[in-house]
Amino acid sequence: MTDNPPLLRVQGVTMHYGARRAVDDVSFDLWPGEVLAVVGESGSGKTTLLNAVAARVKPDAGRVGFMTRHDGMVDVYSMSEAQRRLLARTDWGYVHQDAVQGLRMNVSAGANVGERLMALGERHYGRIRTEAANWLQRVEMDAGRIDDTPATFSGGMRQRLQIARNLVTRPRLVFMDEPTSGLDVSVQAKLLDLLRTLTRGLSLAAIVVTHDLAVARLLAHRMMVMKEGRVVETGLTDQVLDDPQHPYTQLLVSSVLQP
Amino acid sequence: MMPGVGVKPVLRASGLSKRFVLHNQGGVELPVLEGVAFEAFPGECIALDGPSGAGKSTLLKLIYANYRASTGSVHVRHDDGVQAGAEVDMTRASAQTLLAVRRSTIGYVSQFLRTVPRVGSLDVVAEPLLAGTGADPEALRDAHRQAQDLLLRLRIPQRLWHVAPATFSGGEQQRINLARSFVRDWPVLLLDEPTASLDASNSATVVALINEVRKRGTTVIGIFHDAHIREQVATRVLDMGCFQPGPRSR
Repeated sequence: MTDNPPLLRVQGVTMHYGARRAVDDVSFDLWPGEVLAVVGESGSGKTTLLNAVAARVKPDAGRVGFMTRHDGMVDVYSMSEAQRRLLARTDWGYVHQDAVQGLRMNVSAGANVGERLMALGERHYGRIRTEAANWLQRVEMDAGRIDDTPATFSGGMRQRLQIARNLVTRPRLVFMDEPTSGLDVSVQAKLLDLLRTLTRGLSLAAIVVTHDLAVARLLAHRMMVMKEGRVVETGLTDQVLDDPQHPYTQLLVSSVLQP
Repeated sequence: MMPGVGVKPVLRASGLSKRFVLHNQGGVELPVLEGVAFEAFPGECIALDGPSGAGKSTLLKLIYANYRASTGSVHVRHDDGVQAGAEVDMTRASAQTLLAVRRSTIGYVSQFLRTVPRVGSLDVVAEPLLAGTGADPEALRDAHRQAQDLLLRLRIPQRLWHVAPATFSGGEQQRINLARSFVRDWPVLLLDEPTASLDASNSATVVALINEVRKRGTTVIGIFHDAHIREQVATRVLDMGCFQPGPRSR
């Protein structure tokens, strides 16, 4: 497994907000099927890093290589805008913290899921509808809601719809920004379990930004701890949580209330 | 039981030490283990012996690489599919290698089951058999069958098989945890007080399971507080008193 090339190779990514370094020289590799949690407090740069790696905001320095299906490792910022957009709609997914940003609120659930298929050239209405219904079921939504708009859905349902919309094209890599925060605790547990089942079952690689260490414990193979734009500690999830080395990680782990 | 001539150890620890540094409590250092050195051979059951605080659980976690060693090495023979019997140093290996070792070479039964909400017992127990099989329905049926055998042997009532273990009693959770590890044969199996909250008949089952896997060649390294259990499973006792850190200046 170690000899396999990584799916994603991030090297020296740096982003400034004015004079402040929001992300400072971050490098890491991600392997196929691996779930990496990026943890840290608000303002630590974790969402900025996610956006840089997901080719949404170009970093001031650094490279983001992705193992494409046909052309090997390609720097995503050297791709044409069209290539990058295609990648983002097919092999990648992006789950926003606020589902409203990741959904089209005034079209039906089915159309939300079908949109990426249509972007890939699928035109057969029946097939799109069948596939959309199939994905609604996989994220444990009532397929009878296929014609309703997400505006009528609860927060948990919207988040599940957003996940279905992303996974319908069978991406190999999904970026998730605080996917469970803002939901009720009971809904959170259900969504986490769903994400865990989907990532394991589909051998999906994922980068999950979260401030919640329990989310990291449940979902991630590996963790990266950020503070003031820098990575202060990385390791297997249980290593970082059970035997934190860096003063900041120790503070973070010991600050969690255990029910 | 002494290994025969030419039999190679499955695991060897050398110069292993663990010192915790608590940065947010004035940088206080807690030395727990020092100079741990031993070899473990196929078919052995090594009981770690020492009072509480002697670092027994810490040693298991160092072997599993859940804790990071301060010094020293833990070499484990790991069949990586390319080179049979290649050695991995658990204190230095990459995250990818550690995960691979944990999938097929080292099993670990901690004292606590970390449950996932909503995943039923049968699936929890079958999971170690399904790593890397994708969604093959044949593999899933087979894994469920083997998981059922263990749930039956460990007396988990059938009505609980599809219930998530989060709400189970301590003893039931421990049995799920044990079933999950005994569902496959590991070259190395680490057991942290496997019978701590079990009644006599379930303890006897665990003794039988340990002896069965040991006879099939598994190396068991465990903590067994109950002297009666220890006598029935251990082929050798490792005295943790030899690995206590000396007095320090701070």
